[in-house]
Amino acid sequence: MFLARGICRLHDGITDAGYVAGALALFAMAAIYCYEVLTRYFLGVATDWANDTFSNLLVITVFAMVPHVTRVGQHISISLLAELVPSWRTRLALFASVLGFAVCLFAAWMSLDENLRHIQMQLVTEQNHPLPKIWMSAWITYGFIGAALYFLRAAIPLAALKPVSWITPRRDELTDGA
Amino acid sequence: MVWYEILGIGLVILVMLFMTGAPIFLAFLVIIVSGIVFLLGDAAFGMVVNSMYETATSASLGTIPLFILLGEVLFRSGCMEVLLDSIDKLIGRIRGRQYVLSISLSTILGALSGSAIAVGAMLGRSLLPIMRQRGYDTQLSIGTILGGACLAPIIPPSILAIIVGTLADVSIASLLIAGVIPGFFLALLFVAACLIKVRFNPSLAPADDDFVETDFRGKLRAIGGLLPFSFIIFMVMGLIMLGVATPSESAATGVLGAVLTAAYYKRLSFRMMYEALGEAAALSAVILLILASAVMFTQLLAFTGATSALTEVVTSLEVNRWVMFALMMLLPFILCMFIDQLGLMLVIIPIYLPILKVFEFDPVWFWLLFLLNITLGAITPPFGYVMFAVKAAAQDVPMGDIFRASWLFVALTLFGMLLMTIFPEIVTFLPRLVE
Repeated sequence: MFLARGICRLHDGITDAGYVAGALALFAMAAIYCYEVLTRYFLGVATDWANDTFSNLLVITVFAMVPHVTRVGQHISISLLAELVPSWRTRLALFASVLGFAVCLFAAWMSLDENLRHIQMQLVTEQNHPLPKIWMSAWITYGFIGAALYFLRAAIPLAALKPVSWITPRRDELTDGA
Repeated sequence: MVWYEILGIGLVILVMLFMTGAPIFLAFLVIIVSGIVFLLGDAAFGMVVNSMYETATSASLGTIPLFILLGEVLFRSGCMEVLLDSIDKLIGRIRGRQYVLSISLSTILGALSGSAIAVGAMLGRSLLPIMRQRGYDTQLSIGTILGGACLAPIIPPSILAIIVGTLADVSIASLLIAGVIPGFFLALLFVAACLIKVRFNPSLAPADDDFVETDFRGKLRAIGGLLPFSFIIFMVMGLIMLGVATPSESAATGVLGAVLTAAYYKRLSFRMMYEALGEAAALSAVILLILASAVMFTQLLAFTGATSALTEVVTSLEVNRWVMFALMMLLPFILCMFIDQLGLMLVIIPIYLPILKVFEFDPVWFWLLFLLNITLGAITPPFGYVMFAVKAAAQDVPMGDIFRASWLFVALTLFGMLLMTIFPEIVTFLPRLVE
């Protein structure tokens, strides 16, 4: 149990780091486009990197946050059946968690396979300043692996596995899990 | 298996998974992976990841996190209180003024935040208790909040408009601009309906004896209080309309406007920005993950041959285009009473796309009406989520009263949609002007 708790804390710590990375990437997206508009219309100089960097940062904003939104149970779902039949609520939640674990793990495996292909073939982005594709596509794998583990932790009702956070504003809501 | 069997089985499984309460993106992923395995084989798994990668690096979708961030900065900085105070002073003395205030506020707040649920929750907590305390009719008060909030997804900046534009391959700038006139037109319709109701039934609104008339200087100060918000709207809509910025860039300049506004009111702090950035990025992840899954669903539909076969079927039908239009509007209206609007939208748009081409409807006009139609789901019983947000804020109000409160505004919106169908220029005038 001590080992499981330690692994969970490591998982939570990595998710917190992903949260900060996602927030910073979003800040950078806003700053880059403001800079682009300013330089293009006031200085008459358009950058050739702003659009590409903006796109690259978007994938980080999204997938760096996926483990966190799974941790706090923020995914959008339709709770029609659970509202109609409240006695099924626990079983439906368990079903969603198990399904989430299986599907996200499978998606992570597919993504990892694609990441390895990107490394082997040394694929780069089709941009003005090409970057290794793996730098962005790796975030998809990170997002799905992190989410799969939170779905798994939500399916197992053990106090040691309950998610925690040290830095996110929603840390008080973490007890709900995924 | 023929295309309609594949499509039918896929949709049934998708809806069943939705109903179990599994996250929407998971339901889409299950269908996509199963579809890939059965139709294309496991060699095509890379397609799923590459499709997700393409969606998550699409610059036009970067508008979504930026618009969410804009709303977060405004809400978290507390700038909305200034807005409330200024509009309150400008309305002046008329019987039923709190109804006018409620509709104006929910419309403007909705426009600034793009979130109907946030507006419903905020006004349900702040304005509704005041209205009830002053003797305003509870049902009509709730109705004005619900009605105004449901305009949030069409008045720019609108996240749903960007999603529709992306999935339906329609100009996002045109779709955003197209929502301006219909949004304010409906708000005026709501105000007119409330004032007429009060005129015929004065018991719905008290005389408002405690109202303190604002002098000319006070009104000037109130207009001054609105200027920073007008600056934000200019930074978003103005820059698009002037051709200075793309929708994504204007979303970024809108964020800058919101940050400057927060600084102007001395409410900018590192903590507020950190929380706004984190929450905006998290909410964007939720939405874009679903979108990335749904885009692949659209591609899978094309692979099955369902898209082209559906086009052939519809082409062979001898149905009047207006009957088809009515059916295409009726379906989401009914389904949105039970299913989340985002989930429904992602399923229905790929199916509607080929039909739309057959009947040659103006895409901007059609999708704007579609957007209005599905946003009604948020205030239509039994599962309108804005109603639940208001209920959470006003727990002593029975759910039945909240349900009844919404019907007048649902009917008014449908009437507005009818007018926009008869006079499409209400929707298409601004986009054509900009073009």
